[in-house]
Amino acid sequence: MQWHTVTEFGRWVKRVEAKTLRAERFNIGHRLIVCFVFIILVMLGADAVVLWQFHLVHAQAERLNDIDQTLVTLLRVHTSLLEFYAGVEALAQTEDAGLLVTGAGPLRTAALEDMQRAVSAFSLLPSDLQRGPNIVPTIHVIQSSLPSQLETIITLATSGDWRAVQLRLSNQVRPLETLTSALVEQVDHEAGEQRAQTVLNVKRVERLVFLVVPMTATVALLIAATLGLAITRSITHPLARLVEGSEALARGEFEHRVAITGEDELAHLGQVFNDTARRLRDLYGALQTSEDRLRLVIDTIPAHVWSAAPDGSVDFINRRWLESTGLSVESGLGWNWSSAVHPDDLKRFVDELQRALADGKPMESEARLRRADGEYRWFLIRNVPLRDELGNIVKWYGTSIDIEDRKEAEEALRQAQADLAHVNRVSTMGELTASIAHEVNQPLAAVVASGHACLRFLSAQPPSLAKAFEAAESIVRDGKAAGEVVRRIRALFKRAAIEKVTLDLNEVICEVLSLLHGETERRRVIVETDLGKDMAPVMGDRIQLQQLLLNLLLNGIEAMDPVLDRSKKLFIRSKRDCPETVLVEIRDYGVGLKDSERVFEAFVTTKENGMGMGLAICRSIVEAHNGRLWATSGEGPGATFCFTLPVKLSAES
Amino acid sequence: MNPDSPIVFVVDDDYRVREALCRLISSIGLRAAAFGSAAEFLESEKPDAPACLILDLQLPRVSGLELQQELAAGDAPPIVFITGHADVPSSVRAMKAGAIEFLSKPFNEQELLQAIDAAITLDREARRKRSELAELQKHYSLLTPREREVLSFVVAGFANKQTAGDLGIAENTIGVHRGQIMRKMGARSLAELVRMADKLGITRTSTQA
Repeated sequence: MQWHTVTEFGRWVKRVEAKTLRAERFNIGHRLIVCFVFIILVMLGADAVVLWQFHLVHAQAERLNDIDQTLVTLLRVHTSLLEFYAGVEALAQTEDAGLLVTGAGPLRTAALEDMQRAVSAFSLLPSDLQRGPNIVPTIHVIQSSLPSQLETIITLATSGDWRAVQLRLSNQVRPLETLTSALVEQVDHEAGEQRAQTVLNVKRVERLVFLVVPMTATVALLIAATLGLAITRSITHPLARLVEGSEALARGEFEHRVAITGEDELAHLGQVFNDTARRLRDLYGALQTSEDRLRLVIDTIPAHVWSAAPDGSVDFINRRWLESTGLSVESGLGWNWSSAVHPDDLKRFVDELQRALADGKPMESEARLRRADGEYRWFLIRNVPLRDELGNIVKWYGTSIDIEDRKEAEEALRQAQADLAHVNRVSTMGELTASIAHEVNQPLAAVVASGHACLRFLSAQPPSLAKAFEAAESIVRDGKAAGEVVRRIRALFKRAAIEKVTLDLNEVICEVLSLLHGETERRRVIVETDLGKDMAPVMGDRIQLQQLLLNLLLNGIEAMDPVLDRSKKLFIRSKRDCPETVLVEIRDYGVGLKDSERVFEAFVTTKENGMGMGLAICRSIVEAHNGRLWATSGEGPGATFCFTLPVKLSAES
Repeated sequence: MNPDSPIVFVVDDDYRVREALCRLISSIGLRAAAFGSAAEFLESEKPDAPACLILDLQLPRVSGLELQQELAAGDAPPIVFITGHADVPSSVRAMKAGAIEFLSKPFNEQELLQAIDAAITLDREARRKRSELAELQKHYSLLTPREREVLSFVVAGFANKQTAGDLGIAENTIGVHRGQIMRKMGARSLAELVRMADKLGITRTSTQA
C-alpha cells in the first residue's frame, strides 16, 4: 500500500518534471538556485504559519494577563479609597481640626495618586478590555469629587462641627466607596467571563497548532523533496545518457548519438559529445581509408616489404612477398622465411643479418630467393631499425627488390668490359711486339753466349770445369728469366677471369717496367722511379693492374714522342698517402693534356691511330678495384696520372 | 796475360748479356772488359792494346749510335753492334759510320767471333799505322819551316833548279835542304820520302798553299 503510494508519487513527479518544470531549459546552476530559494521560501512560509499559531496562543495568554491586571488595579483603587476613608474617619474621631488638616493632605494625595495610576494603567489596556465604560469615568468622578469633599470636611472640622463632618463622611464619602466596590464586583465578574473565554480560546488554538504545524512541515517537506527529486532527475537522466554514449563510443560505435533536450550545460555537453563522436567517426573513417591505401601501396609496390621485432623475428610480410615466394603467411613469419633463401646464400645472409641486429645498424645485402615456380632470383635486401626516443630499437623494417635483371646486366657489362680490356691488352701487346721481342731476346742472347762459352770451357784441354759450371748456372738463370717474360706476356694475352689476390703494387710496377724496358730504350725514354718502402699490400687482379700500368706508362712514353728539345723522362712514384690507400703517380714530360677529365672518356684520343679506349679502360679497372684515377696537367711540361687503391684491410688487423 | 794481347770491350746495360759475352770472350782466350753505359766506358782507363768494342745499340741516356759518333773523332777501337731488335735505319747508320758488324741478339757465335777477330785485326793494323804516322810526324816536326817548304816542292816532283827559282834561293842551298830532309825523315830514297809525305798528308795542301 505504502509502496504503491511511493510509485504513484514518483510518477507524479515525472509528470511534473515533464510537463510543468521543463527544467532543462535553464542552466543547472540557476535551476539549483531557484530550487533552493523555493525550498527556503516554503520553509519560511511553514515557519510563518507556525509562528502565527504560536502568536494566537500567546495573544490569549496576554489577554488573560490584561484582565487580571485590570482587576488588580481596580482593587488597588478600592483599597486606596477604603484607606482614605478609614484615615479621614480616624482623624475625624479625634475631633482635632489641626490634625485633620495635616493628616488629610497625604491621604488625599495617596488616594489621588493611586487613582491616577489606575487610570494610566487602564489606558494601556486594549480597548476591548475596557469594556466597563463606566470604570474610568467613575474613577474620574471620584477623582474630581474627593478633593472637594475633603475641603468641605476640613472646613466643617475647622468650624468644629464634627457632627457634620461625621455625617458628611458617611453620606458623601461612603457612596464613593460603594461605587468602587460595585465596580470591583462588575470587573471581577467580567474578568471571570473573559478568562473562561480565553481559556477556551487557548484550547482551541492549541488544537489548531497540533494540526497546522505537522501539516505545514509535511507539505514543505513534500515540496522540497519533489523539487529536489525533479532537479536530480533532470541532471542524472542526461548524465546517464552521456555515460551510455561514452560506453558506446568506447565500444567503437561511432554512430551512437546522445538525445539532447533543453539548453543546459548537460545539453551542451551532449552536443559536444555528439560533435566529438561525429569527428571521431570522420577521423576513424579517414584513418581507415588511409590505412587501406597504405596497405594497398605496401601490397602492390614491386618489392617485398616486411617488419620484424627487435630480435629479428618477422611479424609482417606484404602480399607481394607471399605471391612471389608462393608461401603462406605462417611460413614467412618468425624465421621461417629462411626456407626461401638459396642454401648457398643462407649462412652468409643470416650471419650478416645477425650482425646487423646485434650492432643495430642498417644492413644491405644480396641473396637469392626462391620464386613460387622454384627459380632462384637475386634480391637486394635492405633492413633499417626504428628507434624510440631513448634510442632503443622497437622495430626493423625491410625491403627486398628483384635485381636479377640488373645482375645479369652487370654481368654482361662486366663481360663486355673484360672483353674490351682483353682486346686493349692484345692490341697494346701488338704495339709492343718489338720491345717484347727485345725483352725475350736479351736473356736468350745471354743464354746462347753462355752456352757457347760453356762448350768451349768443356772442350778445352784441359777442360775448365769450374768456368763451365758457372756458365751453365747463368744459362739456367737467364733461361728462367726468358721463360718468366714469356709467361707474363702470355698472361697478358690470356682472356682470364678476374681474380683478386693480395699484391705488392711495387712488384707489379717493376714487372711492367721490365716489360716496357725495350720500348723505353728504343724511344730513348729515361725511366726514373721512387717506389715507396712503406707500401701496404692491395687486393687486386694482377693482370688488370699490369694492364693499367702498361697503358698509363705507354701513354706517357707516346706523349713524349714529339719532344725533341728536352730529355724524355718518365717518372714513377708510389707511396702510401694515407693509412687506407696507396698512391701511384706517373709523370711524363710530354705534350701535356688539353682536358684532364675528358681524356678518360671512351673514344677520346689525341693519337692518330688510337681508339681512345686505353684511359677509359684504365678508369674502369681502377674503379673495379674501388680506387680513383685522375690526371693533372700543370707545373711544367707533360701530364701526371695518379691513381689510388685501397689497402687490403685484413693485412692491417 | 800479355798487356799487348787484344782486349774486347763490352758495353751493354743488361748485366746478363754483359756477363755472358765476357764469358764467351774469355773462353776464346781474349781479355774482356764490361761497362753498363757509354759514360762508364768513356771514363774508364783503357789498356794500350788492340781492341774491339761490342756495343749495344739501345743504351740508357747515351745510345750506341751516339757513342759511335763521339768515338769516331778519336782512335777508338772498331765497333761490333749488337741489338735486341734490329731495325734497318739504325743498322744502316751504324754501318755507314764504320761499324764492323751489326748483330741481332741472340747472336750466332761464329759471326760474333769472326766480327771480333776482324775488328781486332783491323785495330791492330790501325794501331800500326797510327804508330808509323806518329813516327813520321815526330821526324817531320824536326824540319825547319824552310825545309818543310822545300819538302812540299820535292814530293810534288819539282827539280831543284825550278824549286830554287820559285823560292828565290840558290840551287845549292836546295840540295843542302834536301840532304837535311832525307836525314831528318830517315828516308833512304826519294820514293820513300814521297810515300812518307803521302802518309803525312801534307803534300797537296802545301802545294795548294
